[in-house]
Amino acid sequence: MSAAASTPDIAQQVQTTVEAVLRRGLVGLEYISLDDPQVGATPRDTIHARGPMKLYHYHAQTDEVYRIPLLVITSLVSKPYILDLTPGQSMMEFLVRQGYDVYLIDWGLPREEDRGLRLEDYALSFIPDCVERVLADSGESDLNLLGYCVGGSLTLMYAGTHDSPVRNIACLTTPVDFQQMGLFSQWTDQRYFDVDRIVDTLGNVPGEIMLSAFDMLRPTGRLTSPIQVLDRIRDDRYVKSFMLVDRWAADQIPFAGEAFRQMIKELYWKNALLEGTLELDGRRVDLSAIRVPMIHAMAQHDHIVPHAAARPMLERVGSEEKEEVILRGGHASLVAGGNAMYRLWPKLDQWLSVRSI
Amino acid sequence: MSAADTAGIPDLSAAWREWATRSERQWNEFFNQIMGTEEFSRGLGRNLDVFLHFQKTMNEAMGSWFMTMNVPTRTDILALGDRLLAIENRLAAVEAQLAGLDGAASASSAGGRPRPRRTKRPEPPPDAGANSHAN
Repeated sequence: MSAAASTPDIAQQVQTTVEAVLRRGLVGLEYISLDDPQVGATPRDTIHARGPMKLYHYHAQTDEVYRIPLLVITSLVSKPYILDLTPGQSMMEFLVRQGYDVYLIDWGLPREEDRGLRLEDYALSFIPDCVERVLADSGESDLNLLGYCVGGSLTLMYAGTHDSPVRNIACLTTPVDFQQMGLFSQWTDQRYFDVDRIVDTLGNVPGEIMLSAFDMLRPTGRLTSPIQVLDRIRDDRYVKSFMLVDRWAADQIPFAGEAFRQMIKELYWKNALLEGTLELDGRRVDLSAIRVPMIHAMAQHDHIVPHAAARPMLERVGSEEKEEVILRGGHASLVAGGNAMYRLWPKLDQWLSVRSI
Repeated sequence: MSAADTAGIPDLSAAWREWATRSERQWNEFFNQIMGTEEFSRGLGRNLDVFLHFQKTMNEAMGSWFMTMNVPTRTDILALGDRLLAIENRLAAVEAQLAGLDGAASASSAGGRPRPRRTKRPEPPPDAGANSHAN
């Protein structure tokens, strides 16, 4: 720049620079202002609905698929679109493109009249019903299961009580030792946590209470998250991923009242799933009765389901072929974060593909 | 300014990021310690009791008011919901039986799209680079 540069020249240069930064560098701002981002967009059909539950079948995107269908069982405490976040960052999309014939159980939003739903309804009625539908729809006699979070626990409850047509089970960050659930275990202390009164008064446990509990696990999260986003505002991929996962985390759903009561009394207070004393409709859930090949993927920095709560699963099941995988990430980023496509998904594909023929 | 010119200058943004991460971790640990005490659990339980008591009182008061106004209460609506649910469940059972009678044809979800062959074979597995412990 010459010493003789005029004020209008300098102003012009500043304006050009600012425009260039805004045009190229701050793409992330678009995502912050997104009101209604596209989630759950992988093409699918609803092939069965019962009460709040829906069973989806994803459209095949390859000329040939693996013989054994895959049934995904989602969590009860969050919406299932974390597994189908957005095109290009969706585990469902990835699996379909890898040639899996994918079905997914969406538990839906429990309505007031669903407050009586119990763990038995989920594990011994809805899941077997969906398993039959999947087998009928695919024309196969066996299937693989993939459970995420509490969906994994329900998968174990189903598989631990049935001589089922399940060939293989993959669990993602699935709690089994509920006395190791950190602050959740502490807050639901039997002496102070009156679960009967909660359920009798409120029916279903509102999503806002669930959200508050999750937020309290990371008290500074609401403050520091925006700072992290601003810090990496030029990385549009990170910002988009962050905003979508953050939106999902805040999008909590109610928990069916009776299932919540059971979960607290049986799983948290008696640790019945781990101890092998959980009875559903008179049938004991016996993890050692599960003998099919299993994989359990956990996240290194999972603050919702700590390692100690998830880890004993493979020790308790009767499977001879089992594999534990610990990957970088948190509870949600394990399955849907920007790096899931380089960590969890290929690992899952590697494990499932040879077991899906 | 070339890279050589900036070599001696500390990266303020990296330092700030490190400080922010460390602070967040420390504050979270601090709060988690407090929230992990028995006193906190007891206080949380008490607060929940107060909220539930308030909610119950409100429900009862509103219920009496609705009854006086000859308007259905929440309990009445819930009872209706329960009856609808029972009908829904019976319909689902009938549907399941019909689907069973009709066989796989009625259950097919392809909606006219051609079904892909179920013949896919796995490709040689790539190394996912994870810490795995297989038994």
